Amino acid sequence: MKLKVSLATALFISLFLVGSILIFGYVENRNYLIATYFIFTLFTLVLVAYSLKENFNKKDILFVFIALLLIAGFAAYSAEAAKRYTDNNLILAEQNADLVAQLDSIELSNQDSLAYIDYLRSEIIRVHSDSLTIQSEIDSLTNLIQTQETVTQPPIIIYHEDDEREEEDD
Amino acid sequence: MVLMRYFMKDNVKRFLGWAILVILALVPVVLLFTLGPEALEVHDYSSVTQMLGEVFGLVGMTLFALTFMLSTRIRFIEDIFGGLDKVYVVHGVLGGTALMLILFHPILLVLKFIPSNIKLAASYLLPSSYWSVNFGIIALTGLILLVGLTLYSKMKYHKWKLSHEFLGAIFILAVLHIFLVRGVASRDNIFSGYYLFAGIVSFIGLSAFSYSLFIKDRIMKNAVYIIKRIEQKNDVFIIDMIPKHKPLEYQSGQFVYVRFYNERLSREEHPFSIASKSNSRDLRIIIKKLGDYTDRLEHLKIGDKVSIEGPYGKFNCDLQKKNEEQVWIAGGIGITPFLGMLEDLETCRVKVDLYHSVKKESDFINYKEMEDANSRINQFRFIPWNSTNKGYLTVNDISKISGDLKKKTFYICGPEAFKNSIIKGLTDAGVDNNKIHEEVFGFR
Repeated sequence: MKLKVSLATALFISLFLVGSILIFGYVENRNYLIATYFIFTLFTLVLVAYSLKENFNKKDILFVFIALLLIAGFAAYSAEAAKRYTDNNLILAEQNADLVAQLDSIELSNQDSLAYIDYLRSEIIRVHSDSLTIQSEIDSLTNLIQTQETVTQPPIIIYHEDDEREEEDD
Repeated sequence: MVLMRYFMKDNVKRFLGWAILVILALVPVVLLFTLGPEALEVHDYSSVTQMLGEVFGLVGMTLFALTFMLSTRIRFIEDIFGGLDKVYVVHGVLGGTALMLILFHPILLVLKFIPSNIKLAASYLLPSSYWSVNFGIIALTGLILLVGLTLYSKMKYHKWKLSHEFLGAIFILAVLHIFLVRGVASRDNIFSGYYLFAGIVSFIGLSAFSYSLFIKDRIMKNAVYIIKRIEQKNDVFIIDMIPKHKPLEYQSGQFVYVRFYNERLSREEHPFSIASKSNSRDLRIIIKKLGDYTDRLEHLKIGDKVSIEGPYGKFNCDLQKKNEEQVWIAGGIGITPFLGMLEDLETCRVKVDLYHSVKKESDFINYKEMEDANSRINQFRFIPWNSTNKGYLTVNDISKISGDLKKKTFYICGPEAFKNSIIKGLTDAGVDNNKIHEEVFGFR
C-alpha cells in the first residue's frame, strides 16, 4: 500500500514538473500552468484515492497532504523563477539572432568551413548559454577566412575536446 | 511495514539478499565518483543536478535489471530472501523504486538549463532528432504505463502477465539509451567503467528476462500429475492428484505453480498452496473461486493432466522441536498450507493451537477433519472463529485462549489486511519478530 502511494505521489510530482517545464518552455500564456496544476492534482488525487480505497487511514491522508503541499510550494517557486528569467531569455534570444546573422554574413571558402559553420549554427540554436564561446569562435573563424586564400583544414586549434570527437564520429 | 518485518527477521540469508541488492544498486554511484572524471568536479548547481540525474538514471536502471533477475524463480534467489513469495514482494518494491528514480532522471538532467533557458530544458523532454534520447523517452513512457497498469488496475491475470512481458521490450529501449546517450558518466572512452557497468546491467536484465520468457519452460522439467478426485464445497475446489511419473518432493506449507490441461481453461500457470502431507505421493490443492480463472475450474474433470512447477516457499514449521508451542493463524482460504502441516503434526511433539477465522460458517474448510484431529491428536487444538458471530479475531482473543504469547512461535496465512492486523498486534504485545512467520498470500 505504501509503495502504491509513494509511486503515485512520485508519478504526480514528476508529471507535474515535466508539464510545468513544457508549459514554461513552449506556452506563452502562463495561465496554462494553473490549469495544468489542477489537472495533475485531480489526476493524482483520483489515483491515490483509488489505491487507498481498501485501507484508507490518517497516516496516508497526512502523507498525501504533505506531498501536495510540497508540490504547491514548488509550483509557486516555478512560477516565480520563470517570471524572473523570462526577460533574461529574451535578451539571450536577441543575442543568438545576432550570432546567426553574423554566420550568414561570413563568406565561405571551402566545404570544411561550411560544415563547421553549420555546426556552430546548430550549437547556437541548441545551447543558449554558450553564446559567448560561440561568439569567440565565430570571430576566430572569420579572421581565418579573411587571412587565408584557401582553408584546407577546419580550424582545429579552436575546437573544444567534445567538438573534435563529434567530428571523428562524423 | 512489510519490508521492515522481513528485514528484522532472524536469518542472515535474508539480510544477504538485501545486502546484495543494495551493493549492486550503489555500484553506479561509486563508479560515477571514481571513474567519471568530470563528476568529481561537483561545484555548482548545474553540475550537482547533472550528477544527480545520472545517478538516478543508473541506479534506477540497475534496479530495473534486478527485478527481472528476481522473477526468474531461481532457487538461490529464493533461499536468500526466505521464500519465493517474499522474493515477489521485493520484486515489486524494487520495480516501484526503479520507476521512482527513473521518473526524476530526465527532470534532474534538464534542471541545469532552467535558470537560463527553460525552452531548451523543455526541448530535451520531447522527442527530437536525437534518437539516443528518444529511446529513453519512449522507454520511460512505456514503463510508466506498464507499471501503472500493474499497480492500479485490476486486470485479468493473463493480460497482466502479457503487460509484464512487454517490460522486456522497454528494457531493451532503455539499454539502447544508456549505451548511446552522452553524459558525464559515459563521456570517458568506450572501455571506461561506465560501459562495463552498463554492459553488466544490460546482461543481467536481458538474460534474466530471456530466461523467464523463453528458456525456463524448456529446460525445467515440471512434474506431471493426473486429477484423481475433485470435490466442490460451496465456492471451494478440493483437487487430489496422482503423479504420472515421479512424484514431487515437497514440504507441507510450500506452494506450487499449477497449469491445468483442460480444453475449457487457458494454459496459464497459477500459484496454489499444497494442502497435503510432506512428500506424500498424492498431491492435494484447495482453490477458492476468487475471479475469472478460478471460476472456470468447475470445468475440470477427473483424468485431466496437470503440470506442476515447484515446490516454492519456506512456510514450513519446524515440527521437530520438542515441546515448542506454536500458534497457527489462518484467515479464510489461508488455511490450506496448515492442512498439510496438520497431517505432519501427528508424528511430532510440537504443541499447536490452530485458529481459523472465517466470515461465515460455510467458509470453514475440512471442518469435520479438523474436529477429528482436535480429539485425536493430544498436542493439537482447533479454534474455529466465525467473525460474524465473535467479531474480528484479535491478538487479545488469542492471548486469552493460548496464554503467554511471548513463549510461542506464530505462523500466519491469510488476506493481507487480516495478516497485517494480527502481526501488528503481536509485535505490539512484545512478540519477537523472529517468532512471527508469514506467508505472503495472493501475490501474482
